[in-house]
Amino acid sequence: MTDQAEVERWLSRLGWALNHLPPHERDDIVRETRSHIEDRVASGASFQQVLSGFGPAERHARRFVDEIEACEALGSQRVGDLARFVANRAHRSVGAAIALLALILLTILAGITVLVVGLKIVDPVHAGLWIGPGTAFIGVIDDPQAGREILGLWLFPAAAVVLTLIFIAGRLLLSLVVPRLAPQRPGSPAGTT
Amino acid sequence: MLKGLAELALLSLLDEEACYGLEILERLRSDAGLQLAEGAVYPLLHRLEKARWTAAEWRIDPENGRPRKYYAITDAGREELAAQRTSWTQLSSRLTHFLERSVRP
Repeated sequence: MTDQAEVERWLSRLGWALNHLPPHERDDIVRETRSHIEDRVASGASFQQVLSGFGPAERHARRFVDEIEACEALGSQRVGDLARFVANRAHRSVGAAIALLALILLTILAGITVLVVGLKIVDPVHAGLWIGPGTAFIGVIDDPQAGREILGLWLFPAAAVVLTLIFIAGRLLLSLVVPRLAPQRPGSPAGTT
Repeated sequence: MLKGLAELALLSLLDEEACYGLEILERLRSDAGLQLAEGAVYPLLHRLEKARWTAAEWRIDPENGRPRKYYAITDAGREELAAQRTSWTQLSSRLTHFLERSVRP
């Protein structure tokens, strides 16, 4: 394979790795990278030297995607964008993996809360927070005579409080974790990467 | 830390004049002393452009006819530069003060 063909192949792989970006952004990145390579070669470097400086095309593309995801997540501040940002880094960062696990647990807890509220609406006699001899649980009981339901209709405001606390905890977690995973600025408390 | 410093140095460089990627990389390496990898500056430039802290345009180099993407700082970029410069000055001042405590008589 000639040097030029190798460069074309590398640039094609770069474009492919950036394929989920808008076409004009992707083409712009590839065009700019080509311009850089041509400038370097014109100043005496070999194609091999330049390409090895960039590293694999997929890794170079990953840097763009990381920067863009960080920019979008921090810019929008939406829970979904922030959570997606953390999830996309979970396989590369222990902090992101732990945060993702915590988010999953919070989501499960929220799901259970919503489920119990739904059951209370559908079956108010059997669903609730039950306390009996040696047991206490939230959910559905087969025999309502076997325990005492202590929340009654207070289950609804209690569920609202729990869901609000879950949302606040998740939001707080994301607001602490995402800036530490995103590219740092000088002087920021987490600027130690 | 290096990424953050690269961003600050880059905005400072563009505050001086519009530059293209390779020129920025070389000046950050030689003038600012930042050991950046060959392609490291482009994702950063891309993000700053998306954040509208820089504006870019393609120009043809009159000497060799090659297209180059030139970046210039925007007003929002200048505001960000001022904020980052203040933040960095305060941090470096505190750190210097801290490090010098052990050499005081």
